Amino acid sequence: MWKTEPTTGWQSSAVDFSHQNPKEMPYILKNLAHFLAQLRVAINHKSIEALYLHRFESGIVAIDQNGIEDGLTDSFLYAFPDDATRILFLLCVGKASDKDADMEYCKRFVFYLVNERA
Amino acid sequence: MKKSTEDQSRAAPTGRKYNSVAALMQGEEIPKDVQDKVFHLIAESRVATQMAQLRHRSGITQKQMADALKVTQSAISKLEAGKDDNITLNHVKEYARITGDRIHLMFGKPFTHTEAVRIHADGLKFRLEKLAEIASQNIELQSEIKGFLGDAFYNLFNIITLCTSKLPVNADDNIEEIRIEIITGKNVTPANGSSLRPKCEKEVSAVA
Repeated sequence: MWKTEPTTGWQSSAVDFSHQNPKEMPYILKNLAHFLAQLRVAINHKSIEALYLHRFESGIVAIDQNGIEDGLTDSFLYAFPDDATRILFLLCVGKASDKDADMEYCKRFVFYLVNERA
Repeated sequence: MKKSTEDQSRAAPTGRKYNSVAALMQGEEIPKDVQDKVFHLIAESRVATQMAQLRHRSGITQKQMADALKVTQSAISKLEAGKDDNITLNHVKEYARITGDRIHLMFGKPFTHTEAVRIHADGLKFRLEKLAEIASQNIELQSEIKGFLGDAFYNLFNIITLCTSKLPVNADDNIEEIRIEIITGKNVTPANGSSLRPKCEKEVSAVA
């Protein structure tokens, strides 16, 4: 069964983001719960399609705040679904305006994770 | 999340694994008001989440579902990620039909444990009686159904025994060993209670 595992990046960003963006964070976490529910039944994570889901290079996915309420600031929770361990690593959460820097962080995490395993 | 991006050397798994978002929020100290809102949103979209699960389990794409329902893919995408308020019973019915699966819906207060056990017991009785009817009408299936009923009895008995063994024991409880013997149909114990012992195929004993 798929589980979530926060990384140090999530640890340092999630609580701050929750305090600074109390409107957006609940919608992102609701979508995370939805994504986790889909992961548990889908044939593989690549087959999951959802309104809030974005796919990036290196297998990184981003879950946004969309689905229920309009007018919220675009924000992303970046995650990495690791098929080998069935763990959804929660990498970090931030505003869409910080996407480039956040993606650099996420790609670096995935690079080290994959290389350490190899 | 500029703060941690500046210190990329610390990018590492924490080793803390969670089965659910509820456990994640508690373990990672997400503010209580955010947690409450998340629970509220999840409760408002339970059916939508189930419908998306149904589609993903069956391997049907949003496009295929949209074509079958004669709507746009965007409409399906919004339906599955939105509130249950936007879903009609017809949507639910069509999802079940197209995926060839089933959806159970229940609104209102959840069952208590005893209510749920009674409902399941009634369901079991109904299904087992139907199986017995089928066995009496179809000789080819008799042996298989008899075996199934035997297994069902044994499994149910074990479940009840296990749960009973977890009950707290008080000093004044009148505990005694109950021996249950599963006997062949013809060699039943005489009604007059004579000392003739029936032939036992299988014996199960337990402390109840």
